[in-house]
Amino acid sequence: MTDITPYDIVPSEVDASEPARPRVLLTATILVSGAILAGYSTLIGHYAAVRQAVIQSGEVWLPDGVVIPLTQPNFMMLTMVMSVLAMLWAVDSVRHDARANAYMAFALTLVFGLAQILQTGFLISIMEMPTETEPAVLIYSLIAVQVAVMGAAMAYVATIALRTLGGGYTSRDYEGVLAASMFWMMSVGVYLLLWYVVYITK
Amino acid sequence: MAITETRSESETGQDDPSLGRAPANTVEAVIGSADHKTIGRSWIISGLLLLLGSLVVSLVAAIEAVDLGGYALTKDADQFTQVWSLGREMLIFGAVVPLLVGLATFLVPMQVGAPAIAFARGASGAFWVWLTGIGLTVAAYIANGGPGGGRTDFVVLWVFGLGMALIGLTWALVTVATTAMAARTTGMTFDLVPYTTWGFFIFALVGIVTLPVVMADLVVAYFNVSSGVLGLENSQTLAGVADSVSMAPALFWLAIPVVGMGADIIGVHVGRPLQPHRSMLVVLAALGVAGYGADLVGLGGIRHLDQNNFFSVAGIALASVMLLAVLGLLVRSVVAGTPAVGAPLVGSLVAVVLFLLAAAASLLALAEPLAVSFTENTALDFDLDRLLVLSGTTFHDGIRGLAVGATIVGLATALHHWSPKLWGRTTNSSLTFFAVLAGAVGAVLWGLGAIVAGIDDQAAYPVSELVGGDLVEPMNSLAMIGVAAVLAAALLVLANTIQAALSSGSADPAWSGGTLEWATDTPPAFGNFASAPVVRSAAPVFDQEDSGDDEGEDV
Repeated sequence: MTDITPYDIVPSEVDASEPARPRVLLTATILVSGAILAGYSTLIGHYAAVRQAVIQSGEVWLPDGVVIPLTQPNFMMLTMVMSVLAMLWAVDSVRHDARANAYMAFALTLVFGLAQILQTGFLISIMEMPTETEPAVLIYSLIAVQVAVMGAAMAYVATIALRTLGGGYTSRDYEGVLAASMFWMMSVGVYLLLWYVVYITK
Repeated sequence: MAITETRSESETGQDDPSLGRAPANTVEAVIGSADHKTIGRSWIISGLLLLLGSLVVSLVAAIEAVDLGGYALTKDADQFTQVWSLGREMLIFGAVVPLLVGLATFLVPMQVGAPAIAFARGASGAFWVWLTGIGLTVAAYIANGGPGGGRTDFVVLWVFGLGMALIGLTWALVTVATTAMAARTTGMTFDLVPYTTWGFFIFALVGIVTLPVVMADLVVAYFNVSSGVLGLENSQTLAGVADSVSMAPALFWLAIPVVGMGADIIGVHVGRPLQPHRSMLVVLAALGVAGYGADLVGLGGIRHLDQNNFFSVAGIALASVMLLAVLGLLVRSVVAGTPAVGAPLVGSLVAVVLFLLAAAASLLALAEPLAVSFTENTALDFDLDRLLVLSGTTFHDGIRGLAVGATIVGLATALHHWSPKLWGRTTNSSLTFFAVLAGAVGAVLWGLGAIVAGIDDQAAYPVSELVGGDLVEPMNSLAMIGVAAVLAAALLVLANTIQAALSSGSADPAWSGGTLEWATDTPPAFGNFASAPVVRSAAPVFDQEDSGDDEGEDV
């Protein structure tokens, strides 16, 4: 039996706490996300400007015979929404040390990401857009960068998932998981831009 | 501890095992080091060598421009485009920006009291990625690629090389900004950070959203070229990708760190830190807002020279006012202090004056698009036939010449001022003074020549034949002399730096400042500080001296 009473454990006067831990990984992730959004917004703006100029000149934007269907892009959007929920589940699970749930959530997020990339491949194959036209150049530029960003986000989440598996992130410190989730949200935001500007408004 | 993690307060200092060990030999020190000082020096040496190379190439283009169409040094119009484009890209992405990144990598961790830069191995990787990218870019040009190139594969290689260099630069800027944001020592709130760190922080933030604009342009260029939409006969237009950071107001991005360093340098050489501290921080931040113009002027010539929009006008106007405010604050500091007139003081002031000249010229360039806009959209009716039409002329090359010259003068000054920390000894003051003089004269001649040639209707590069009035040829000669003078300045800086870097031993610095880098050894030891410093003012070293506390950690 110990002599320590609750009054000894919780003193009436305590020193000021240590300064908050610098969030280096989170800060860098926000900066990189900003860089990617800046670059992608430029591409989107470029696409919109060229498309507007062509339409204003009385010409048709997409080449003859090219149709961008809506089914695949909409299902991709749905997949992305579900991936956001899975990523949030992963963060919440790590915060509460629910490790089994965390692994499941990480795996699900990655599966949704892979599904989006595969659906993009299928969409490109059924669009049958000839590559030697200006609309194709811009649309393929936008799709290629979006897929690359999604791939980078998957690599980031996979790395953080492995580190969590190794005990690197727990309820005491889950900054990396938070950073990965932020990057994932950014990659979904990139798809949201592509979905609306290219797939919806065409 | 993983490299992505941050040390706690108690873990900082030279004995921190997570910092790794000091390198065993020179080769390991350069290639394998994650010490921010070694990485910073690598950026600086590479940047200086590429500065020399890019100015030689720019001089070739300038000589050719004296008698354009004669092709004395190049084969044809395409090769002239390649030489001109290579010179411009290397000057900005291979020399000026990397030199600034190198100084930021070296100085920022010390100024914020950190033992290392954030993502130390990432910062090292950024350097090697950039260097490889620059190598590929130059190789692509040599193999007849790049803008004006005649071989598709090597035009594509140019896209990849330049893109790789930009990724390296962007990642390096992320490490600098992260260090300034998240690795500051105890007590160093944002309103107490040194001007240099604040300038580099704003520079990094603006760069992080500016360089991806160029990368986006490169992605479009890749698909354009590889799909055949852009034929090789039109590959000259690819030169437009560098416009995003080569024209006002985006050019004033380069002024931010130069002004920040100048404010700290002048504070040291007039004997008292520049005041009021917060006003200068606000001015630098406003310059950052003004300097974001990549999306306004770039993107492969689509919006080339289009300054007929509110944001461009506002950016240039704001930059002009802020540079005027900077000059006022600097002069006020000099008058109020006891100035030690020398290369650092003169160089810092001259760099700001040159940027101000570039801003004034930019304002002049706005007259025509503004008048057109007012005539079209308001009841005002300007006589458009009597206006100077500067869009699409070499006028904007003149502004770039002034801004790049100003940056080189600022860099020459900074490399001299911090030479004791960089190389362990102070570089030669006379050589630095002549470098500043040559750089300033060169920038003015380069700028003036191209500006007047532009007023006399010389078309903007790349062009295949000389057009314009009688003044064009003499003005191009003037610009050529200007480029040669800037080249001489770069040569002096390189010689001065190499002499200091190769000298053995170290000497006490000839001056000292109040910011934390002056509290380190000369040259700084691995880990920078024996223990984590605690800061209570913007000049913590002076606080320590005033209190007579030589041993305390509380600086």
